[in-house]
Amino acid sequence: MRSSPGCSRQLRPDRGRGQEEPLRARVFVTLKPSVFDPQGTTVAEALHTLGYHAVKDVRQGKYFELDIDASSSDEAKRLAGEAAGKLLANPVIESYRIEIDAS
Amino acid sequence: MKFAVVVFPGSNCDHDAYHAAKHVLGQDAELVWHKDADLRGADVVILPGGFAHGDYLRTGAIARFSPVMAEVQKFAAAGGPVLGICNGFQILLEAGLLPGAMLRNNVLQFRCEHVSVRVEQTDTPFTAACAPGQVLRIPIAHGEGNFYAEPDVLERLEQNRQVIFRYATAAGEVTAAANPNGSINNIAGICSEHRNVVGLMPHPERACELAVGSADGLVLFESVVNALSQGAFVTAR
Amino acid sequence: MIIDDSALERHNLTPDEYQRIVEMLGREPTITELGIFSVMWSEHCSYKSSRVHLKTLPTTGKRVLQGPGENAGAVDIGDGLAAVFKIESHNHPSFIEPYQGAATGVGGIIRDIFTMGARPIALLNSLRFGSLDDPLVRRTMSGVVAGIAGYGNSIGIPTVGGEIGFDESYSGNPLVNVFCLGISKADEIIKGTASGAGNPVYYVGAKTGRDGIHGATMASAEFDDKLEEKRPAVQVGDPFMEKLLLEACLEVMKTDALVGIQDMGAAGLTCSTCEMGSRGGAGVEIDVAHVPQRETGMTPYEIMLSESQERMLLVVKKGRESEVERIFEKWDLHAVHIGNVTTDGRMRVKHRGEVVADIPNPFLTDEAPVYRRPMQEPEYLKHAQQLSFAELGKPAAPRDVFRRLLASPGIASKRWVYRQYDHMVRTNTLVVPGMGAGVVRVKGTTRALAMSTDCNSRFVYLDPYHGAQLAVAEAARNVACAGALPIGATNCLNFGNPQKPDVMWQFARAVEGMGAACRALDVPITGGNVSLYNETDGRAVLPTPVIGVVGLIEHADRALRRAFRADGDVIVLLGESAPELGGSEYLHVMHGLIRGVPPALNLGREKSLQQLLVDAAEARVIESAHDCAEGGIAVTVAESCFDTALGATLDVPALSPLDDFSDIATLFGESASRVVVSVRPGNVDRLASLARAAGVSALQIGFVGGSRISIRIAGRSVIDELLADAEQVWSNAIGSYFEKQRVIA
Repeated sequence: MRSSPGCSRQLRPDRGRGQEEPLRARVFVTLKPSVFDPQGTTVAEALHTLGYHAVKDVRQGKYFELDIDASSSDEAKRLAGEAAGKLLANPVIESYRIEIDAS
Repeated sequence: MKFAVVVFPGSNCDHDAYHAAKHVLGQDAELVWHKDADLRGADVVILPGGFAHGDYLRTGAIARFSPVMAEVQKFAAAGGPVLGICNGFQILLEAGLLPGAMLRNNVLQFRCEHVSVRVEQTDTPFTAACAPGQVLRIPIAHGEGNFYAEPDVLERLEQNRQVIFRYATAAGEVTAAANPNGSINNIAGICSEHRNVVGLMPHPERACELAVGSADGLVLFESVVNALSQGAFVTAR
Repeated sequence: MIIDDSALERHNLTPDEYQRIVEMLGREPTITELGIFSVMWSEHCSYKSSRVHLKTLPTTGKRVLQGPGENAGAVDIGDGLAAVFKIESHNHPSFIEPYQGAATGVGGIIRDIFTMGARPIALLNSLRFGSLDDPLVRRTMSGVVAGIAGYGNSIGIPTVGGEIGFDESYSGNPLVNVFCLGISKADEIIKGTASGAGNPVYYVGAKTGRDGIHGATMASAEFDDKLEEKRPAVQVGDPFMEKLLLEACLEVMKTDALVGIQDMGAAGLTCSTCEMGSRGGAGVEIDVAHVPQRETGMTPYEIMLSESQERMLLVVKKGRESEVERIFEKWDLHAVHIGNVTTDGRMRVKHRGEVVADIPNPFLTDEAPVYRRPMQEPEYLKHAQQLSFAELGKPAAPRDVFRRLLASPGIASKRWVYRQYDHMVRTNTLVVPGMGAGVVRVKGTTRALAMSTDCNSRFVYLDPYHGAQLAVAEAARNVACAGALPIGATNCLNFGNPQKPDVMWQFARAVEGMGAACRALDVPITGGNVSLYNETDGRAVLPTPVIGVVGLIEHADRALRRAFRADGDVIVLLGESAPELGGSEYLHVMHGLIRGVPPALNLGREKSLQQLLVDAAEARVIESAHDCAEGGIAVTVAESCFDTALGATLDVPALSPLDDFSDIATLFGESASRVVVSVRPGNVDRLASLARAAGVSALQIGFVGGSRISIRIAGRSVIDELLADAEQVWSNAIGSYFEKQRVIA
């Protein structure tokens, strides 16, 4: 029986092999303030019908977790920034900020 | 004339555009796979509607990095006519070939219905055979057709006459009621600075035969064939 | 793990069934085998309560290329082509998670079509919800509609029609039945068969996770407090993955390198493996360690029972592997070799070489339990069939009833729903939703196909046998109204708990009635689905046998819609009217009752009517056709006016007895086998003579034109409304329920 290599490979690298673990970058992508956000508005209205009138406004965005092989937080931040600028966020309507987990 | 219809994984209106060009208009047409970096001597490039890459991340965001897009960029830079329909328009926006961005419909629902659009400018390859102010009845089918551009970009678009189609009533009046998705200034389609790249959210390829409800979209395809025959928008190859 | 009573209960197996398993195997089953039996012997996979009844249905005919038993049915439509179609349900998941439940239902039926080698070209859906006054029902309905739209639109298959019904009994048990139709070459239909010893078995599509595994799972070291995270109860659909699978599979099928293919739907890998083996009379051996997994530490039990979506199982001809793998790679899909076909007729599952399940295929399929459950006529029936008008008091004025009916969700415009569905993609749609049966052209031929899904569940509740016949008649009639000859049918039977004798009685009678009608109308059943246990707190849904009928139009340009077309056209009522209000929308909306007996049905006359419509359409004698259903003639005519904003003026004879309810019965009675057509004045005589020859009654009742809907009974005015007003009431009704939800802060 021919077997296909790698198809039962687990999704996460084995821990405890003595290598550095990847650094985790958290990328928060949000709509620029000037952009109308109908989804956020609808969510706010829904919260109001549930009684949360204290919630004045809601803006909906996206959140990404990137596990990056990098030798330092700065390098991870730089790489995450490139990923965000090129792909994760659309600079016309979105802005982003990045946090790196303390290693 | 040869039409190249680019097919991304998840495109689903590619066959409709191909059918319109080849079987309705009787032109030469070919489907070009997104991994091909060869437009095979096409005279016109169409980026069709659909859900390229599932619309994951943002519509058109991943498709713009396909190998074929480098060729489309070159073709456009050389002045060749490029038509982005619906998802194709979204891909042109993400690729920077057209300015602005697409948001979710303000009604937060997908809308599939016939709308009327008014032709604002007739000096593009795809509207050259239209009359100024002509109203076309063409279907839309999208959940993210709410066009947005920052104020200074929008002003430039209007000043440069880069707004090519606007949502209007059947009588040609641009009103809020005629706007199905909240697009700023009722913008349904725009062109690039050099006017050879046009993107629109409605589907002209779905309005090429009366049997399916309207033949008003055929004029966009006829326009580009005529324009090319007369020597306009021809790229050096 | 000890297999004790509680383990059996969690696996939904009775002690008797377990005993049978032990006897058949000659030993106790392993835990993986227990899981496999539990899903294959479940109601959904084995049809154990319904098989004896379904066997009586007519499934053959000169056009039938594939009857029940495969992933979908198929009928010959000429030009060397076949229409491949089926309807399926995804009811329970749609209550738990409306969007994903409905979306994955759409995904499932689409796979059933393309796995046969057919390119899907149209979708329909038949939905049932509780009362829209209930916020939970509204949430369910908007989720279901969004889910159907989200999946169907993304994969690019148009939703060209359907129906939506409302009744209290569906509150906790919405029904989501999805129909799909595709086209293939008649001699290139692919079966779900495994055969040819040594042929490799391939898995392609999404990775397998712990989706949809209910009940017991094997304890293992990795199961800790993260258990809940790892095991979502609901499958999430990925229409993009399915689009890739669809295109790649159709491409592979062109190469003839495939022996068989089946999608992994209910009971996932288990079902496709043993069913393919069973059909081919062969065995299949797989090693689950090769199955692509997206979660860690999955046990063989979990891998075999997972219902992760968008996965296909293929049997490839030995030697053609790289060809097949290459095509899938083009679409960024990985086809993985997970096993082989054997000659021993057994399903053998290994895990890293160790056998964890070894069962003869027939034990899981043909030899699964078959029950002849007890049936008893329900107690409610005799009383429900009594309808005394004296008890109802004086009826409201026809004008008021008219407006109330137009505003009732069962009748009101469904545009709020179908404008969310892409109904035009693929540029084949000739008749869009809201215009009667959906019609799509068949490119490359002169033909078109019409399709409709229908069921009046109130009629079935009041008389399951006749109600089911009326459902078949209605679906076929809707298709005939488009000018199409009905050529095949599928059914989705939605009922309550079959272990209750009265539910089983409803089911059995409905199947009998359906069978008789299908025979009389020459519409064979090519496949279908049964959904049982649709009940909450002991209260079952109204019995709802949804029938989907497909019809063939020889010349696509003859396709008809229900809308009036021109001022001055003559309105003709085909068929005979009687004062029949049993089970009507009128009774439900105005009196809150489901009482009486359903309208009478003469199948011979129904057949003549349908043939007349097909002939008249082909001869271009009629301009429009709309069948009379809920709300009777008044609503039928109104609906024909709304689409093109052309009014109508009618004068109809009074139905006797001429009592208090005569006007109501005349206007809103739901007698069967009736169609409202419009005809150019010059064609009236031709229609009259065609009708005479067919033995169908044809009565001129009015004219198209003007800005009002004016209806007289024997010269006396009973309804006189501005068309625009009536249209507003009808158009806004459903949307207004959902606008209520939005609170402006």
